[in-house]
Amino acid sequence: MPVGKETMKIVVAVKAASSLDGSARIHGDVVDPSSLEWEVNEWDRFAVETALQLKEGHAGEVVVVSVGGDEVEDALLTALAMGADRAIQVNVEDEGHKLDAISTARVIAAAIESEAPDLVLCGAQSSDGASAAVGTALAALLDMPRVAVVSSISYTGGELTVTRELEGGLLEKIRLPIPALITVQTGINEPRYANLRGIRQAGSKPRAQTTIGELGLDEDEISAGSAQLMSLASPSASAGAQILEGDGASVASQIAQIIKSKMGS
Amino acid sequence: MSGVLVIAEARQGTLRDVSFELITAACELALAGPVTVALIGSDSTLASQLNAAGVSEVVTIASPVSEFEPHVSAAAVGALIDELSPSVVLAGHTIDSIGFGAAVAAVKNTGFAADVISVAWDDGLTVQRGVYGDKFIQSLEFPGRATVVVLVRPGAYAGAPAGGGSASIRAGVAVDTSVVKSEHLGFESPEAGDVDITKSDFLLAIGRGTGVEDQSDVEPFYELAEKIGATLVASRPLVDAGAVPAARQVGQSGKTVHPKVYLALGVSGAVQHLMGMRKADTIIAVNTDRGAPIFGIAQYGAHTDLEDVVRALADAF
Repeated sequence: MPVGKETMKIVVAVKAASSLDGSARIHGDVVDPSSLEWEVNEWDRFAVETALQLKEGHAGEVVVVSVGGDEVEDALLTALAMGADRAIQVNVEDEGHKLDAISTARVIAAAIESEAPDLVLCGAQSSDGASAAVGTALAALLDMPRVAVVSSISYTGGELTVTRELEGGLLEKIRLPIPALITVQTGINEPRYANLRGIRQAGSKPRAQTTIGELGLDEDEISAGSAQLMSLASPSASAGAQILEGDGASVASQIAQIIKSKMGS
Repeated sequence: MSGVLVIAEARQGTLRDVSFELITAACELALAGPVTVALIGSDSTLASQLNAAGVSEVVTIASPVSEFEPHVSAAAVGALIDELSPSVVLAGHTIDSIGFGAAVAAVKNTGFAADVISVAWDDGLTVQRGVYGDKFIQSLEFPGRATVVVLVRPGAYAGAPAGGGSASIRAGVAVDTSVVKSEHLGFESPEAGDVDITKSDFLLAIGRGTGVEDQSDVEPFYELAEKIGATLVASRPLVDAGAVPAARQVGQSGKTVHPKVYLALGVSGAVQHLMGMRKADTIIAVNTDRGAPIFGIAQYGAHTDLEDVVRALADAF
């Protein structure tokens, strides 16, 4: 056996991210909930896969945690069906105004502190809010060493070796001890799809439910967050493209003309 | 509580462009008070470059390590917030700064906003940021917050010219070795690949909307590119899927390109992709998703079925 702690307890923070259907409308300062579609945040699927591969290589337990409204349950079931062992669901009632990134990190920190994980994994960012902040804030609140935006990870002898993906494709190799928190970039692996057996088993895996109040946090403070939303608006239309009309052949011919004139040929 | 603190970024001994963009943003917040620029590191050449017009003070913070380390940066910025009580802290929404910005905000209980595209000061800070891939823009304020940490999107502001300012330059309190939690083992440059896409004047870009899933699906697009005299490039999802080599990736984690023409097929225009191609002279986008953010920066667009256009394009040249 290799030296160091080999059994890992891994917590993965998973977000149910929303995307807009074609007709998305703003009501007041929120997007009309009926025009939102929910699924597991793309980056978080890579984080769950990372956890499952580490567990398969080293044994241990994978716990998934998520914060939000009803949509969270499906996200957690998806992660359980992929192979996570159990889930913690923190229910938040105020569905219109989602918690901001720092508040989300505070809630997750309170929910997983007693788990004493060896490794916490988060997606590098979410597709909807895109703050890329929950993981970094969570690490600070848990007082865990962290690396953000990681495109490869290996674990031996109690140490992680990770590659951080920088601008322009430059890679940085970093070593750090556990416990640690890593935020995961897309492409780090190939996330598995849940098979039928996984989906059948997911429903019977342990799922703990809690609330912000039960975690001992001040609900008003968490809800207020680190910024106040004043307005939500569509970007000015003036920036829009000139739309080429017609069938495929006509559009192709217009595109060819534009390109020829711009290329100066 | 006053003033703006800018956190400069350096990598491999060179200041990153975003540092000067942040100085421009800070100067637009002049009503908030004087602009202080912090350099984590002690390189006096870099410090004098940061002495740009409008900067009052450059503070160098000696680091126990030579390259970026997120815990060192968090400690340095936290200590500067304690010392200067700035109203606003500006850092880049970059890979380095997202490694510490939210940590500082969480621990110091400051206001916070990331991926910000504009900042303004009128008796308090207002920022704008995009959500849902910039389909909607949020305006945020920070009532009751003595300090707000703001991560500004690279390219959102033009860079201030380096040097030429009248700032005082001083050494701040060094960060202690005990703060370091991770060890830099080295950098690795991306593989050069078979083509340098930054050298091409005409790029044919493909994205997820093309339906491409693997290498064989890409063949027709290579053929089209060759036929019309373009170089084929792709957005990140196709590179992640292994369909297109990384050397052909345009975007934040790929290449930044400035071609005469950028023809984007089935590219939605994620923020990270736009960072790599928004400086193209002419952008033409074809996507059946009328709400795709790419149409926000393209000069020409079409919502026509992609297959029809692709089939006709080869013959149109």
